[in-house]
Amino acid sequence: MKNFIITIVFVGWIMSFIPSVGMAQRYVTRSRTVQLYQVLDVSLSSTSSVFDFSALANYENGITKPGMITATVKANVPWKLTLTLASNTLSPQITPTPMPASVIGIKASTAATYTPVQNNAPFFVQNNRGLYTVVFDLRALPGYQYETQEYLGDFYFTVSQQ
Amino acid sequence: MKYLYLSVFFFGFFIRANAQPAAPSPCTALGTEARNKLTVVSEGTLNFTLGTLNSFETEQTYSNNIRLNVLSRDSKYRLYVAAELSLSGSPSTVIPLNNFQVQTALVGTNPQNRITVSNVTLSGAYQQFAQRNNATNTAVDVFDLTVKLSGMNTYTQAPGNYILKFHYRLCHY
Repeated sequence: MKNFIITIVFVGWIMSFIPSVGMAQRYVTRSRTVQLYQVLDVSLSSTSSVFDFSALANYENGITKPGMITATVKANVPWKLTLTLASNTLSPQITPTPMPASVIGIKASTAATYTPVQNNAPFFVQNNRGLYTVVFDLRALPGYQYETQEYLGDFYFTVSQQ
Repeated sequence: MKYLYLSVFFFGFFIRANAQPAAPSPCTALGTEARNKLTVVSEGTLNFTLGTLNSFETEQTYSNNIRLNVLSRDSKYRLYVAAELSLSGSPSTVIPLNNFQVQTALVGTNPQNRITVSNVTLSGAYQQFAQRNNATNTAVDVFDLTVKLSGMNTYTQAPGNYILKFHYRLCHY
């Protein structure tokens, strides 16, 4: 039995060299390295940027803008898209009735509930690596407690690695 | 018992040393090595780097990336290429081999009417990219291969270093 195993080992050892000699000039392998670096990118498109409160019903029910913002995310790592603001209060901030940005709510169009826009607990969506188109619905519901004024706010969408 | 381990090792080595795709058919090997051989004579870019968003979005071309010489004095021949791809570490998503294309160009003054070249999309099996319908004389046939990489704009592959191994094969028929 021992001699048999030794024979097997010897034959295997010899055979491991025979093909590499016989094929050396008719079979060639070459390798390349494909280096992929981390990619994180977001671009935005918007159908509108204005909530126009010109009717009483707007104040009663708020204004809802389905698909108001569309974000295209390109990321080869798990990503997180976060919405922050220049300020928690919309401009003008020096007014008898400063309007908090949280009167505006946002949600992914596939979600059910709106999240108030604010820096303290920023709204975000996240997903695995890949190419994504994320559609957001926005809603403004300020009520009656703010004086007549044009209010402005800057929204920042930032994509980062989870 | 130690001999059993040794035998497993050597047979494992045997399989590893000859790890290549299944041979195309027919694929004979006539004549001597001196008269019939496939040689890589030069190589261009060794690293395919995708470092910007644009490089993921657009097709990348590595022109004349590898030059092959073929001497086949004892028979007409065909050339084949196959590939395999791996990610060092723990691969989660590989780059599909069909994202890579190889374009073949015949270089030099050998009889063009005797040689047919074609472009192939890489796969794990050997695919023919050149054929000559008679034997060569003492002069070699020269082929330049251009590699193209596209389809990376899905962003489904993790960052890292992927190893793309080309297998080239000369077969008489």
